[in-house]
Amino acid sequence: MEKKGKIVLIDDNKDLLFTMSTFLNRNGFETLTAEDGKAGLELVEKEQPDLVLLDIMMETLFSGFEVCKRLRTNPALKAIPIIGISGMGDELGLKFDEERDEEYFNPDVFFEKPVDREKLLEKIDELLKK
Amino acid sequence: MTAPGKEAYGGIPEGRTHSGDRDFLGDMGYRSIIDLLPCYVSVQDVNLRILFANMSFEKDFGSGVGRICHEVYKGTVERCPSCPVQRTFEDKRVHVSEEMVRLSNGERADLAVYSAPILDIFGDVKAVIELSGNITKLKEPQRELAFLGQSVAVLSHDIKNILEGLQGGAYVVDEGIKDGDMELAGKGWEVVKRNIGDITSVTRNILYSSKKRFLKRQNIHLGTLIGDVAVLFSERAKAIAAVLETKTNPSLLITRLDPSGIRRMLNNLLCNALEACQVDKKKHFHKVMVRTDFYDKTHVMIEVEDNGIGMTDATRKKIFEEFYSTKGDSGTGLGMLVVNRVVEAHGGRIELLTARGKGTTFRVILPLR
Repeated sequence: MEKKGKIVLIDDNKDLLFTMSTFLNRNGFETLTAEDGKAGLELVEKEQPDLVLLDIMMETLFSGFEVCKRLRTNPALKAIPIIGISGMGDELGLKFDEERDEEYFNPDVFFEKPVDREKLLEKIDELLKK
Repeated sequence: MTAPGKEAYGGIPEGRTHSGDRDFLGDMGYRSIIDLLPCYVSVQDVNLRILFANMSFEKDFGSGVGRICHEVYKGTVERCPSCPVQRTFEDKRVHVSEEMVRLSNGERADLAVYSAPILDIFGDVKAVIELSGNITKLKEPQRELAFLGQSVAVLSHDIKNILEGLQGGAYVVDEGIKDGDMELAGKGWEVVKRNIGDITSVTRNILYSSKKRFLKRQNIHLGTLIGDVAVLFSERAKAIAAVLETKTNPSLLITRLDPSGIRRMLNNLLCNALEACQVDKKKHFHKVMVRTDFYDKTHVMIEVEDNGIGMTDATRKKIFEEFYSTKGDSGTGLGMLVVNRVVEAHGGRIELLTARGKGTTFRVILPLR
């Protein structure tokens, strides 16, 4: 069966990489994973995926913010849709602030953990159709 | 009854007790009673200069007469924004406020402050009498609750990550069972178990932070500890093109401090410093410096200096208020609350130097022991 698209997953949590890639594989996508921002960037450059699923609060070399910024400022990669994922929510007042962070951080869609799987699939389909 | 103020101001006549009380009071007189009241009583002029202070006041704040109220209470040259005395001068009414003050022994206290006018024969406010009760003990449970609430907010980030792990793990187990693929189901089950372990430790953290925290002093080398913390922030600094440097006096060897508390404190101060740099768009070069040195023979100091956006007067006041705030459900509230807790638990103090547009320095001074 032909794959619906190629997705690069970047997360410093191995469990999330494993479960999310299992989920996406079983829903018809090809997945590639990276455990830190730097490796993730290299993977995106090499593989030119259809979409990037990016954890924002990685405590590794290159946070999700940094990865996002580098993808958006690279002419060859800036068109790749990015879905940001984070456990950070409203309660800390640290949620993605469009005005403040636009320069650094502008994913196409933002999901808060635990991620609603059905909505995620809908968004991926929508972004890949564009 | 004489007109209020005329006689009252400048000294209360002796012996004006009801005849029935005379035996009980003996020769004490009103002055003695005012001195012994378990609250602070002072009379102030329009410049907030203290004209009279009772014994309780002088016992806890030192000699007050002739000095300015906010200098004695808070050690500041500026009037308190909520000053009830000033309002009483303006409208001749009784006013109430809550103020945070510092006693002459260095301890901080919360006061409930009442002000009432002393009128002259023309009905003008000649002076204001101020009565303050120490409500620190009453405020303590409020602070504990606020701290717990904020800790829970921080922990909810961890909890969401764990929920994600549990949800994902359960999904994989389901898929494995559906396909009869026990190897896949086993892998999913490992994820579930790991996350159950994580939620257990988070639960312990919640319980831990809801209790009063006692210091666990250890012999630590501050320079090494600060270096470790700085490494954690180096990437974040790089992401906003800021330089993060540490400088420790090499003769500062082993100190007895609570390492996890100091780490938490530094985390918060560095977060604030980097954020101050990030929002400052005016300078091209940003730097955060953590300096550690002897403050004097018996104290060590840790300075976190940034050349970020600096604080406005209002923010500067607010940040110290938030040390005591019960409403601090914003991120910064928690940070400064933790910093303040750690510093207080070590018997230290914190100084703040800041200028809008130039930068901020937090100086934490801790006793060596």
